[in-house]
Amino acid sequence: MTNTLADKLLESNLITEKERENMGDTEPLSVHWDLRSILYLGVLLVTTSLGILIYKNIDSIGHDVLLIIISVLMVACFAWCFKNATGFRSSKINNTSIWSDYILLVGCLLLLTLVAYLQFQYQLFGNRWGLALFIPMILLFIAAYYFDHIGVLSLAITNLGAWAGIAITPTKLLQNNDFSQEKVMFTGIVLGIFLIAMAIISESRKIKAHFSFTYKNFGINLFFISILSMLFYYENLYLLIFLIFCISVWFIYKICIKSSTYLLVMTVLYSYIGLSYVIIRNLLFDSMSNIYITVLYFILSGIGLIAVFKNLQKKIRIQ
Amino acid sequence: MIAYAINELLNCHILEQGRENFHASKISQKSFQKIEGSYSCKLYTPGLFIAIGLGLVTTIALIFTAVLVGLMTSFSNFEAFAGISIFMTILSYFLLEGMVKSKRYFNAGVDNALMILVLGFTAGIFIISEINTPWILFNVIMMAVALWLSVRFTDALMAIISCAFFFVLCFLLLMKLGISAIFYFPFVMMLLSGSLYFIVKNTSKKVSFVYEKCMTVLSIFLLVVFYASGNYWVINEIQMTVFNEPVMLSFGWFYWIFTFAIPFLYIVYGIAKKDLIPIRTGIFLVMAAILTYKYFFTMLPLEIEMLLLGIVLITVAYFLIKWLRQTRRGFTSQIISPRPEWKNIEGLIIAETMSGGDKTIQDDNLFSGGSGGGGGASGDF
Repeated sequence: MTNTLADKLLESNLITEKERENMGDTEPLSVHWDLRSILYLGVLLVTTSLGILIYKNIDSIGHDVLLIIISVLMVACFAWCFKNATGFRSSKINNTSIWSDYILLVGCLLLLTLVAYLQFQYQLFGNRWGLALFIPMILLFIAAYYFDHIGVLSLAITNLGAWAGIAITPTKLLQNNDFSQEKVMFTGIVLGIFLIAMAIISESRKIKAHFSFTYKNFGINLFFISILSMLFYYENLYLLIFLIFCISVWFIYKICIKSSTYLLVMTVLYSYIGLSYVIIRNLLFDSMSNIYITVLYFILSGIGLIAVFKNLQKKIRIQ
Repeated sequence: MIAYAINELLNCHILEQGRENFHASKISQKSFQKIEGSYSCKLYTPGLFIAIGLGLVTTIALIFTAVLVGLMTSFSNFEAFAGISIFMTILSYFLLEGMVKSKRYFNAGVDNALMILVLGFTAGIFIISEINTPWILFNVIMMAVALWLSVRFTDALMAIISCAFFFVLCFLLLMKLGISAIFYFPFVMMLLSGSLYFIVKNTSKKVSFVYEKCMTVLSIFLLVVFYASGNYWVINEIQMTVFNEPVMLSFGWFYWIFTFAIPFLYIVYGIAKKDLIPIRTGIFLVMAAILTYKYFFTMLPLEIEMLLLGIVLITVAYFLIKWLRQTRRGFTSQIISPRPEWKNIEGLIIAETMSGGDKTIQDDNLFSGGSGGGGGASGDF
């Protein structure tokens, strides 16, 4: 197929003779990403199983020995990373070595294990549990920025969430948090705004601009889920919250439009949930007599959203 | 027979190939612009996420249309429900035809959602009725509808669904011969899926480029089905469901060999044929084989097994990455294509799988709760 196509393009004078030859070349197949996935799975299995092993055998191995082993491994990992690192740069560092990514990841995981171990066993930070999360979080952020590692950055953000009292990994965001608690909602909003601000700063100051997607992704999802919960929770204030909601949708739409269709689609869907809630609440407030209008609303809004999505698509294409 | 003009599909195909070659820096930007100038793609294919969004809202609109129809007819019995399903099937299909014709949707989410809805409402006609569902007829009709949709709209998902209904149909027909026919079922399935795989492989070069994607996806599906039809766990489950009691598999040793040998055979076959599809399928199925084994036997404590497996995986990956620095047998561990778009989510996967994540909120002061932790371990201390 490719060859006949290339011939056709050559005939119509769209490509040069040399390009025709290039297109005919069969390249070697790259199994780069396949091998990396296997490697990742291996690292995941080893670190998890080591954790369980340590946990189960604490009594027979002894705390001191374990602490020494973990510390030595961790120091070895970080030493290796420092030795091979290019140093801090505010732009993206293109790693030539596959290994540095994984060794850093293992080092960071060991760091978390070590701090948690010290806290649970020896109460290193006493009753100040927050500190036991805060210190590794800072170290993770430093490692993420210094070695340019998005995975470690995600770990740091998760730790930041844990420190603030919220589980923000994708599946646990809704599962483990009780969004009917005022504290969780407010924390979610503050943290969400902070993460979105970090995204904007990293883009505008060009400090690790490629980190901004990760910040935005955590920030926007957290923010929207929190503010939607507030909308559902404070029934008396819902119009005010809806107003804030609309303003933030506009703002987030502005920062997403350039960067990611995924975030854009999420923003539209979250806005749809908020809008639909307010409309249905008003329609079905006194009785079920408006049930027809409600059903019609969903049909028409569905059709309307198709137009919205197509318009967004056009805008993205232009940019 | 195809809902799209062949010329239009061809233009898009050429443009796509041009873009691929441009990204692989095989042709210059100037040439690519020339190609863009001469071939324009008028079909509407948005990116993946926009398509998902479009599909979602289409589904919402159609489901609520069904609710509206239901409310207006104030249905009360199963016949009415079947009637609504028939109406909705026809409505969805005509919407699909109309949208594709007027708006030129091509894998735009709207058309994909409508195809799934056509199938779903068709199933609704059968399932929501008081009489016992005639399963054979049901499968024949579902298979035919999905096949028609896949041929007319060149849709890969419909191709798989059609094929799946075909296999279920074979199972039902075989069971007509009596309950003992279940013992031949694995071999019938192997024969069917195996021969279908080679038919698909051999014809995919001859059929028109419009079905290229259907053929690729179908071949992956058939590889998986072939494996499943001899997998010990699958056979065991099917026989247990049929006999309603735990069974002792005859030819058990054969199924065990099959369970472990086939994934590796796929990988070897893929390497020999320089085809990534059997290789990747094989890698996944190795995992399936291990899980199958784990389901029936425990040799070592779980964490030791995980540790050993992890070490094996890291070692294998390590040596292959080193060994394939230079291209060997047409394979390389170097990056040729740029980082795939979905790799953006790598960070999320790390956050999801490697952080403990369980949190505990202490009520007295705000920034106090939660637990970070790593490797799924630290949260337990």
